Amino acid sequence: MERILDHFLRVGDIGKNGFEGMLRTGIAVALLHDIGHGPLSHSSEQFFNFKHEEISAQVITRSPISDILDRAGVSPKTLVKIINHTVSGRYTLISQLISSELDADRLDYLGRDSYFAGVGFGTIDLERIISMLRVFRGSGILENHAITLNKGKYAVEDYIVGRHLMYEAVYFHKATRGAERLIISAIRRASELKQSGLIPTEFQFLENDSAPSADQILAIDDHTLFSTLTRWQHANDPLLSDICRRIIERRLLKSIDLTIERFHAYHDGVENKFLKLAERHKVNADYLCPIDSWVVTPYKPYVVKPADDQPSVITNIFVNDDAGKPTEISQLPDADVIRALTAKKYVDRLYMPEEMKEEAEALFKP
Amino acid sequence: MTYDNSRLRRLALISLVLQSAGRIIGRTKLQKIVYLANSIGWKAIDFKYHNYGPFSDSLAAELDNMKNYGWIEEREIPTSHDRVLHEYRFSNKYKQTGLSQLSKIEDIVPNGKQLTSRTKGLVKQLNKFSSDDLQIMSTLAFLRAQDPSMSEEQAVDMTRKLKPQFAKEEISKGRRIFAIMKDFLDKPGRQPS
Repeated sequence: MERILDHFLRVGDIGKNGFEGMLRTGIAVALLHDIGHGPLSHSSEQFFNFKHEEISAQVITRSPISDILDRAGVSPKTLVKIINHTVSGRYTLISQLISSELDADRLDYLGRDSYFAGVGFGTIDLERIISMLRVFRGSGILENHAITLNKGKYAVEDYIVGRHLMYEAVYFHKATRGAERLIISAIRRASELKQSGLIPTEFQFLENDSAPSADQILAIDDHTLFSTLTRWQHANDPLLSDICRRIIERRLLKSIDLTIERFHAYHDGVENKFLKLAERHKVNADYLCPIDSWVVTPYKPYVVKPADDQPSVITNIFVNDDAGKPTEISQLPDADVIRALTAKKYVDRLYMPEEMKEEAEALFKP
Repeated sequence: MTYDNSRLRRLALISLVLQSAGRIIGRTKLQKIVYLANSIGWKAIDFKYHNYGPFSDSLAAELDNMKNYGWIEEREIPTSHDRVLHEYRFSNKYKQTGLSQLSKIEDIVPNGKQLTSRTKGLVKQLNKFSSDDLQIMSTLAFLRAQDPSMSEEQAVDMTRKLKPQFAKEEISKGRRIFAIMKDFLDKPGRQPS
């Protein structure tokens, strides 16, 4: 965020007047917008049924964070509006840069995730992308928004493709999603058992079937979660113990991709045979054979239209065309690759313990 | 069962709404009917207030999924106002799949058969209203669900502020939703109709 705003100052798109305040706000929102994340980042939203954005808003607007922000001359309420895309004026730029199809967060995490996942793609030309950004000088829906110069379009295209590949190969990897499903099953089972002493104090909200409060989310992290799963390996309940052993010993679930043909075959008779197969293997399908479904749109091309009564922030990417007119990137004549990435991709995977997979695959054969 | 309960509930509710209605014209109308049906005991989908009233991203995404599976048919209907309306139906081809999800959910949810029966009746009644009527009615219901201490009059006043494009009389007429919902809410000892 700091680099992007500095760049705008350097090229004269933001004046010196008021820049310090804008920079402080930009850095604060960059640091705090994800403070509401629980253990294992986005995954825990599925385990515990909460939204990190709501927790972030609560944490930002109360002590001690709000006191620190007040002392720094940054309004906590403005930060929440920036995160929610309900700002107007010059803060629109910060709001777009914190969450949009081309934002500081994605520019930050893509390269890092690519490096730590050990994959060769997902690396981006950060210098080029930033240096090609300009603040739109004009009125209309793009007022106070960042756009990209025409000669920067290839770097942006590379970033969109890189992100798409990271989703396919890393973020939605079948092993990652399978591990998440096991953790969901472990937490569900432990909540249903209602055994005294089973659920540690930090996870008390599970006993009441309620969503966690901000304090409860702040009190738990990856270590709290994994130490609990480790302990549950020795639970009296054989199912909970089995699920947790599979997680800790990394005996993760295996999957079969349900293509549309297999999806319909599954619902037209394979399901019953599959459930009988699970019974023969003494596997509780309710917990160990989930169907995981997700939809991803590698690049969302539509313009977010402002609501009648509040300002909004344009979240898709605008690039100057050959004539210098800002154009939504998938509408550029040579953007065939990006146009292909605007299509939604649907994935359904049927998970099961490894010992069932070979026989399960045979059920789908004609 | 290999869908988790929450997704199975979502799929079953959407299937039930579309099968009960026969067809629903308009995305807004579909969102609002599902919102009201969801509120009589399904608790299958979370809604937030959006431009036209209660709206759910997860419902929009699930409709996309179901369309992709072929369970739901979506047809574009051009209108004279340069707008396109969308007509939704549950596909006859997969009617059995929809029914099988319903029977699974009826086994899981307490009084499941009664809930599906009440939902069918409510959806049939709601589908007779226009998209504008349902925008107003679902907004009124949403506001009172968010703040149960809010009176009907207060909900009407708030809706007038949120929807200045509607006349006061139109919004006031929307109060009939409270009487309709009362008929379909869970009551102890109520028999399936």
